[in-house]
Amino acid sequence: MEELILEMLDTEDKEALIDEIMNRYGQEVLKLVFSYVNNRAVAEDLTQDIFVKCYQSLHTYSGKAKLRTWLWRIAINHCKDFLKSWYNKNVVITEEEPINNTTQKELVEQTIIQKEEDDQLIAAIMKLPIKYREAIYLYYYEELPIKEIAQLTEVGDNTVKTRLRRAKELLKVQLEG
Amino acid sequence: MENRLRNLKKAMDRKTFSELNFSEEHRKNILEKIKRQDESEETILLAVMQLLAQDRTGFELTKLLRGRGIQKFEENEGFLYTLLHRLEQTGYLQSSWCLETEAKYYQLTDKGRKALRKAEKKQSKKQFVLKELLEW
Repeated sequence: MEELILEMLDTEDKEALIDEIMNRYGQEVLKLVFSYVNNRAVAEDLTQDIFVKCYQSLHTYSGKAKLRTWLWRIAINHCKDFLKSWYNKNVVITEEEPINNTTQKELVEQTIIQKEEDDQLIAAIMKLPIKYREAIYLYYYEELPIKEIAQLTEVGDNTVKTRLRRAKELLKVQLEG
Repeated sequence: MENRLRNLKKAMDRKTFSELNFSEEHRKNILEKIKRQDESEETILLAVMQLLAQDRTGFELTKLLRGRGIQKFEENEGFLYTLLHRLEQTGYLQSSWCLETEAKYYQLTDKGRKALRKAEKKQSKKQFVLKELLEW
């Protein structure tokens, strides 16, 4: 992918490139953004902004980091800016209806218990302060190595480890009382 | 806790992300936004260069751009001066200080005039030349 990109940057065919980037990374960026803002409509808006921003900054991509890492950093910073923004602090966004897609077939006791537990876990994660939430998301959902998480969140490896540990402590208190 | 978290990917895909979809529509929206932005930047750049065929101050330029319906600099004149500075740096225009009127005048250089002519003449070339300018 990286080679392909550097080659294409030379041809200045930036539009085709951004299209390819969206095809590859659109879905995962949308999910990543959701993990920060916890609202579908906002996540969709921000994701669009992020790709426009990515397009505008393409010429600054040096090829040193992986393109995916570079894009994710843009995304993460954009989310954090949004969370800090006046808009986010002053405009109340109505909660979306809880998604309920449990079908009759699945109504087996064990499954229910498992699902409830999962739901509680996700809800607890989404309530964590951002620095803990992102660590959990990137480590357990995206299964990224500590080193890459450190790069993405612009802190040291040890800080990531500490945050993961602390996040788990917080989750334990919330879920297990 | 560790075991529960190991399951997070499955759980979130099933629940949290089940209705989250980066759709074809999103993709198209983004491409449109990008195009619109590129176009407006090109229009502005072209307008600025055309207006500087004669000597003008930044203030005059703002007024004339407004006359052309370009509103990007309204309440954001700093942006215009950044653009002028950039054009000066690449040698497309030069500026001089007039003692009488105590104002700074901008005008196209020969290099700038050439670039402008090129941009105006050839539609296909236009994009290339202007893109070059926009990409520092």
